Order: sequence, then structure tokens, then C-alpha cells
Amino acid sequence: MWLFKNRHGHWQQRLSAYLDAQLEPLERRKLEQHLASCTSCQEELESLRATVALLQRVPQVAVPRSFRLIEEPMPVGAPWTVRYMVPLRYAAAAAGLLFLVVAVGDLMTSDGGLTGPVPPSQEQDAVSPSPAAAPVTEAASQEIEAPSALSAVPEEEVLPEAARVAPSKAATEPEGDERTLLSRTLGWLAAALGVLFVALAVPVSLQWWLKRRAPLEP
Amino acid sequence: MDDEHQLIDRSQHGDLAAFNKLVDRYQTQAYNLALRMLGDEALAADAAQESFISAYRAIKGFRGGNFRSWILRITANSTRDLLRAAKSRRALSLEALETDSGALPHSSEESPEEQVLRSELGSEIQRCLEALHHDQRLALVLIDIQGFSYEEAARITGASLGTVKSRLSRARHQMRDGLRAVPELLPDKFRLE
Repeated sequence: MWLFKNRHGHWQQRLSAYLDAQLEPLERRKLEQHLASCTSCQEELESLRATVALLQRVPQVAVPRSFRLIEEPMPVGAPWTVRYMVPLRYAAAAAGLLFLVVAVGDLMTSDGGLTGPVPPSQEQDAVSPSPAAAPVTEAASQEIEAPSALSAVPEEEVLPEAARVAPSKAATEPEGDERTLLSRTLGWLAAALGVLFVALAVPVSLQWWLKRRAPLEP
Repeated sequence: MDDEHQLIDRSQHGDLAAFNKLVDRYQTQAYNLALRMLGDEALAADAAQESFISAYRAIKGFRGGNFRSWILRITANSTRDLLRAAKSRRALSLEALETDSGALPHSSEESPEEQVLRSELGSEIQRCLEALHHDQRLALVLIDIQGFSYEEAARITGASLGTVKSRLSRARHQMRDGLRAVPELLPDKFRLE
């Protein structure tokens, strides 16, 4: 009985190929011999035949739209600079904007920047010593003018300190001008770079975004 | 066919217009394959479009042979990827799969009741297709619904001829069993007793 079932299953697995004439001649003849004496396999064959006939009646459906390409798609295997070009553009735009904000802010708050001359109080702070140091400076000038008299006064220990302040301040003034000039130059350079970044990144990104919205023909 | 070789050659040199002529030629087969595999018109359109985009990207690597098999193989792979993605998102519900795109053709003297039955039968066939394993469904769609030969089905699926026969046999038996559950929808001459 087990042998019969196994043999039966063997032929049923070949009925599909038999329907399509895909069996070798010898195997086909053996199956036909089996079919002649097996009603179960005959019914199985007919049910499969009906199933295939039904499936063959399933119609082709018309395409809902054309699948033509209207532009060359970006290659998948492109270098990372190409694949990440768009995010890089956005990053460049953001960096440019940030750079612009920082540079303009720096220019507006720095000495001699876009806001014009520094207010008198700040100017005084920047150029002259602090009020606390002023008497000492005067004393220092006196000391320079009359060094011989200083040896007798009690401020002997303070005066050399004050004397060091005035000459050093005088020495740093030309260097401060150079720094201001350098700062302004860098600021304007930063602003120009920022504008350049924005001018390049925004239109290109916008163009890419518009293309991506409609990459295919309707 | 010579014309097709020229179109392929021009496409390999970046001629998009030539490639689009190949798209015109095979888009119906690609879309129908995707539709029967996915059971959803929008997903099928996405799969077909993706397959043509992928084909254009890869066409320089096409080294002759049957172009239709090549493009349909890409489509089959696209449907497999979409199914995996959709299953992971649980986006494909049985309700979404019940389309009338599988409706069988009708005769002019068909009654409204018969039209309803035909439409329901189309949906039932699609439901039974969805129940098949992907590889078995692909073999059945290619050979029984789209009418390809075993050899071309083997080229498209990348499987051996014996594997295709085996998958098709299992798919047909399972389809038969599935359709037996709805005998009232089957036309008389297709009754699966």
C-alpha cells in the first residue's frame, strides 16, 4: 500500500510537466500507461488542465502610464561625492548662511566696522588707560621727566609699574590697527564666501528638487 | 531583432531615446508581471518604473542574449524587493490586494450576475496567487499567465529548467486547491472536480 501511494505521488508530481509536453519520451510513455489504469491520476490531470486553462484566460492589463525615462538616472555606483552631492549642497548652503551671519555680526560689532566709529566712551577705553591708571600714568610721566626726584617719594614701588604701562600701551597701538585691518579684511572675505555659497547652492538644489519631483514622463 | 540590437547598442552609448523605444516594447509585459506578482496597481507601476531605471543604469553591462528575459528578470527582482519592503512595513493588506485587474474577459451576452462572478473570480485568482511562495508564483505567472516557455522562464528566474518545472508543478497544484474552495465562481467547463 505504501509503495502504491509513493508510486502514485511520483506520477502526480509529473502531471504538470506532462501537460506541457516537458517529459522525456520514456517517462511520458510510462505515465500514460499509469494514467490508463489510474482514475485518481486522471482526475488530477484534468483538474490541473482546467486550472492552467483558467490561468491562461487572465488578460494582459494595459499600462496605466508610460514608463519612459525623461532624463538619465543618477548612477548607483557613482563616487560618494556624486551620491551625496545633494546633501552636500544643502550643507554648503547652511554653512554659507552661518558664515554670513557670523561675518556680518563680527563686522557690525568690531571696531571700525559697518556701524562706523566707536562711541567716545569705548574709544576712550580703547586708546587711553583706565581711569584708575590715569594718575599713575601722570606720575609716571613725572618720573620720566624727573627721575632723580622719585627716589625720595613713598610710591617708589608703584611708579616703575606705572611706568611700564604707558610705554607698552604706546607700543601696541600700531599693532592694534593692523589687527583691526586684518579682522575687517577677513570679515569681508567671509561675507563674500558666504554669499558665493548661497548663490551656488540654492539654485542648484532647487533645480535638483524640481527635477526629482517629476523624473518621469506622465 | 536587428533593430533591437541597434537600440540596445545605442542605449549602451547613452542614447535615451533608443532606450525608451525598448521601454515601449516591453513595458506592458513588465507591468503585467509586476501586477500579478504584487497584486497592487500602484506598486506594480513603481516596480515597472524602477526596473526600467535599473535597466538603463545597468545596460552597459548587458552582454547580449535575450533582452526581454533580461529586463523581466530585473522586474522580477524589483517585485521581490518591493514585497520584502512592503511586508516589513505591513503595507500590503489583503484588502489592498483585492483589485479587479485580474478580471477575466467577458462575452457580450454576459449577464450582470455573470460579470460579478467573473470579477470575483479574477480577485480570487489573484488571492490564490498571493498565497503562493514568491518563486512558485513567478514561475506560474511567467508560464501560465504570460505564456513564456520553460526555457525563458528559467532565464528570467535564474533557475535551472528542472527547478522551474518543480516550482510550476507545486504552484499549479496549490492554485487548483485554492480555486476548489470557490467552485461557485468557476465557469462550468473549468469546474475542478
